[in-house]
Amino acid sequence: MRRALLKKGQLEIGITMMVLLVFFILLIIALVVYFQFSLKTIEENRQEILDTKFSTLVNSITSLPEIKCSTRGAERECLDAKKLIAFGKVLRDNQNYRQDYLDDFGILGLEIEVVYPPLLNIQDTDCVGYLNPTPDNCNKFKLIENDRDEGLVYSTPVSLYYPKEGIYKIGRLAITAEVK
Amino acid sequence: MRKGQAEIFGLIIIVILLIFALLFFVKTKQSDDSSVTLRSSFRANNLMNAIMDVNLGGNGNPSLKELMKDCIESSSVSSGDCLSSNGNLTEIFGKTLLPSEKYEFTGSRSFNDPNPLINLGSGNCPEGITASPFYLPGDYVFQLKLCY
Repeated sequence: MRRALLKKGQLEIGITMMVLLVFFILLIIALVVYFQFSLKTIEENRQEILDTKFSTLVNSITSLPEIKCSTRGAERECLDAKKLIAFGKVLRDNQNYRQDYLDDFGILGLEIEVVYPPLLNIQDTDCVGYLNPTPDNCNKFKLIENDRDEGLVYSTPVSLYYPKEGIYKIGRLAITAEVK
Repeated sequence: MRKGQAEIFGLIIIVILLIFALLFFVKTKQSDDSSVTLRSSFRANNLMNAIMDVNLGGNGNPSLKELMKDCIESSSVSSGDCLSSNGNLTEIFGKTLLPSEKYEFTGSRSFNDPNPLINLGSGNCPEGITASPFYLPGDYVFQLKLCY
């Protein structure tokens, strides 16, 4: 009699455990599905925040008179290669200025790469540190190098103007920034 | 059921929970990308400006907008100007956009031309960001749309 009761109790415990197991599995599946939806919403929000942050940032940086093209004070929608070199040199020689820009804009890195027309046999040649930079011998303007090797990178195409030669090229402006 | 068996069940449940937690963590971790693509008209407008200004080098150093204008004037997709401008444009989009990004670029002599002479891109682009149309004297109009 006692043994039979014990067996019945064991069986019920087994059934309860199986039910619990199925319940937990269903719960986990439901949680995963729920979090997938939440994740999608969070990613959408993240994208919106990044859109706003980086759009403002890029707009501010490309509008800096230090690097923007201008003819007799009238600004144009392009970046001046000569100004980029001069600006890059100033930032390298004066760490205080560099720090001011980093703090003001909240960025970690800033560089412009010439992408079109492509320069044959030239890769990663920094125009700022080059002795005699021309449109044909260097393809990068490393204005602020990212020392911390972190942050999000956003890039946008820009028009690059070489005033001495009077030609335009297409560049890629890459901004590395923290997302706070 | 013995005590040992019940403990094994408990362990199995814990292991299953841990596996799910790990899967969820990995899934979340994977989506943490280090570069962002903005859904902003600013980017489309920047690209449009850059395309219109660029000089291609070589003989006479023509600008791409002149080449595209000549292409539309020639009224033939197989003309040298059209082949050259389409080739340059495809290369520019390849270098400035991400491989996953799709686009539509058209050039014609009227805003709503159903068959623009310059018509590049992946086609199927119901949603996207459109750059401000670029007009040239003579009713030439160029339009760019970056698809989501």
